[in-house]
Amino acid sequence: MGVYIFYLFGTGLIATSIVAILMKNPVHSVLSVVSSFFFLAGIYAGLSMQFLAVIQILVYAGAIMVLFIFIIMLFDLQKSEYSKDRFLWRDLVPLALILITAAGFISAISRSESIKNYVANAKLPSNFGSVSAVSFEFFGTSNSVGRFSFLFEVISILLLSAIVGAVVLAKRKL
Amino acid sequence: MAPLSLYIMLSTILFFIGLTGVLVRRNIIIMMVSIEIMLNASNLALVAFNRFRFYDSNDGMIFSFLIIAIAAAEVAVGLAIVIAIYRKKKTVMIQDLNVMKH
Amino acid sequence: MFKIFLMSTTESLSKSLDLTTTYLPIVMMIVVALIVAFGMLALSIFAGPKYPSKAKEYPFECGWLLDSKDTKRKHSIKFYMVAIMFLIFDLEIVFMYPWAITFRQIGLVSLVEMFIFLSILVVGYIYVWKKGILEWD
Repeated sequence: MGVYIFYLFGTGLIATSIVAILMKNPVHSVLSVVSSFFFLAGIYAGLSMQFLAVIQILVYAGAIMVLFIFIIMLFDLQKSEYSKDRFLWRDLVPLALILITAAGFISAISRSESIKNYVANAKLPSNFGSVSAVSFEFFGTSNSVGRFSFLFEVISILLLSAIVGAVVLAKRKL
Repeated sequence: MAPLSLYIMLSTILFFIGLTGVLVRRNIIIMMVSIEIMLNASNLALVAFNRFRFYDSNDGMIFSFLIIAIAAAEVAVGLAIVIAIYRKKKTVMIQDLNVMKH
Repeated sequence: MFKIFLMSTTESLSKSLDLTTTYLPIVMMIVVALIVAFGMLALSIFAGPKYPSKAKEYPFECGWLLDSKDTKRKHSIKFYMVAIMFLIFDLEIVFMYPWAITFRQIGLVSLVEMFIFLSILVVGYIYVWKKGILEWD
């Protein structure tokens, strides 16, 4: 049963992603990516990563993509503007290179013996992928420091630099 | 449950879809959306390896959180750059941004 | 050691982590939401009365020329600034969420850690405040 749900979500994920890079209108493209993130959240949930699935919807589909929508709204792009993005014949060169590389990767993955040997373990830790597991990794327990405490502080510095960079770049007249 | 190789193949296909979007499209906004697709492909690979191979830890999920934070920062700064370009040039098409060429 | 610790935590999920059983309420909620949303649209399309007339299709505007091409409205950059602030502080709340959930099980070190995290982000908040991003006019 879970296999069929994986096939359903995976097909939807690939289809919506392809639609996203084919659409001329940026609004259609962004909305298609939002739906692909919902499919990806479903795949995360199938891998029993509940918290990550929720964060995927909350942050990616709910905040990051809304920022894209804001930008498109801010620019108010006309059809004459975005329909200048046409497929040229010289684009076939990167496309062919991508297809060759992707075929190589996929054949390598499908023939790899080491990947085939890993099967999903039925006996997961009881809090695998839950909120408390994330919390113990970040903050440690009552008598130890978490393994990723430093990473947690670095994330705050990353967010601070993002705030400062965005304000400086968008406020000033360049 | 589907085998690990299918998850990794899905992640690979998603990554190359995003790469195609970056290389072929000329709209900056859609190029940044494609970068998001590529980041999500890497997230999927991390999470799949965590579930199938290193299931007694949560390292892949933690790295996915880091990548989500990086994506948020990248989008904030990148779209600010797009706004600065749009103010100057009134366009988001990269074929019109050819000041360095002439 | 970490494995033993994971086993000893009291939190218990349902035994079968299958999509079809564990997430059935969420799937039902999504299905009901889709049915309600598209059902309303379909009802208003198919069951609503429609009397199209020429006067209704005429653009409702007065005072200036109807066929002026300048329909571009200038949206302010402040919208984008507020959206950026929302994104960053939304992410901050997301990282606070696991801390708040398991606050009784994790130690006092986590309090210091979260204090450092928040104080670094408050620096950004003060910067934004001083720059006048939060003032609308």
